[in-house]
Amino acid sequence: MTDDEIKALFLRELHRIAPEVELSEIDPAVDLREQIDLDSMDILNLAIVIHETTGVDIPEADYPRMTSLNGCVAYLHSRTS
Amino acid sequence: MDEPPPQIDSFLHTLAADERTRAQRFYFQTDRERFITAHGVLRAILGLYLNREPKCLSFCYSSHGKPALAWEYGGDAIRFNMSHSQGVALYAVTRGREIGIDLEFIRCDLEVEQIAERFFSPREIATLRALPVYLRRHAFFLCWTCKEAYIKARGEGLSIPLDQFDVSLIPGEPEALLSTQPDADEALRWSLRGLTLASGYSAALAVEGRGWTLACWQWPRPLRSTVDPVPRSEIKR
Repeated sequence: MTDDEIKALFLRELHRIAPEVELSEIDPAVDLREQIDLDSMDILNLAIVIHETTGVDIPEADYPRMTSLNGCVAYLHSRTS
Repeated sequence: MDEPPPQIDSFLHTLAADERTRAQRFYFQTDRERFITAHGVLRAILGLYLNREPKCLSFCYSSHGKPALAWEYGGDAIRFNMSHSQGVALYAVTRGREIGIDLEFIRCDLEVEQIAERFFSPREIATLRALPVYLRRHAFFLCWTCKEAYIKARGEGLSIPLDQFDVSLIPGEPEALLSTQPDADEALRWSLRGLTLASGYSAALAVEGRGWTLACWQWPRPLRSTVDPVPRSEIKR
């Protein structure tokens, strides 16, 4: 999966969780929970969808690394390369 | 948590520079204002315990992000935790005991059994499955808030796998940390208690040790709270 595909997946899920957010205004370097009032269930669902789509097994301890766009790309890149 | 603008402005002036920066990052004004209120009220509450000006307090953070008072304010003598969801915030304060609190709005849009299958322990999943369908959503959120409260009390985040400990989840039964792996003695170190809020929310406390009593207040006035201090198990249904 390319970085662009990972970004598209992440943003698609973010749009599903928070459709009223303009995706271009989200800071890719900042934790989503510091930008939008997501609850823990949203984070779990995000991790589930990313796992199911990419096939990458993501331990719960790594979830905090997946909660920004840049963090998610870097994490999946490290797990698939 | 939805305070009038003058009150939010007043809270803002008590926040540290890093808290203001975090507030500014929020996309929606409502979330920004709730963040300011949540942290302003936290400072106000802790200031009352310490007899200090709220704006003078400073915090330190564990490697997993759990906040604590800085050492110059007694360090771990006063411990606290907070949680907020859908415009409601809960604060828990203790003297000399670790504590975690979690509050969740009971969402109806979640496939709770699917989430449970993935994250709960086998014992919890079996217990949830055995419940009548109409009880499962509330049981799920009771289980979830107990698990989150415990993880927050430990201050180690999701480095504690969610399926490596069991909590009780049957509505009406006493909340408890039933077992822990790999250290079985860990279950004896903690006590759990559910909190009854307004309908639509689930909340729980995890406190180090036993023999503590719970007193509840509603901010800003020191009145008996809408939070019911009676454990769920003692509430007639």
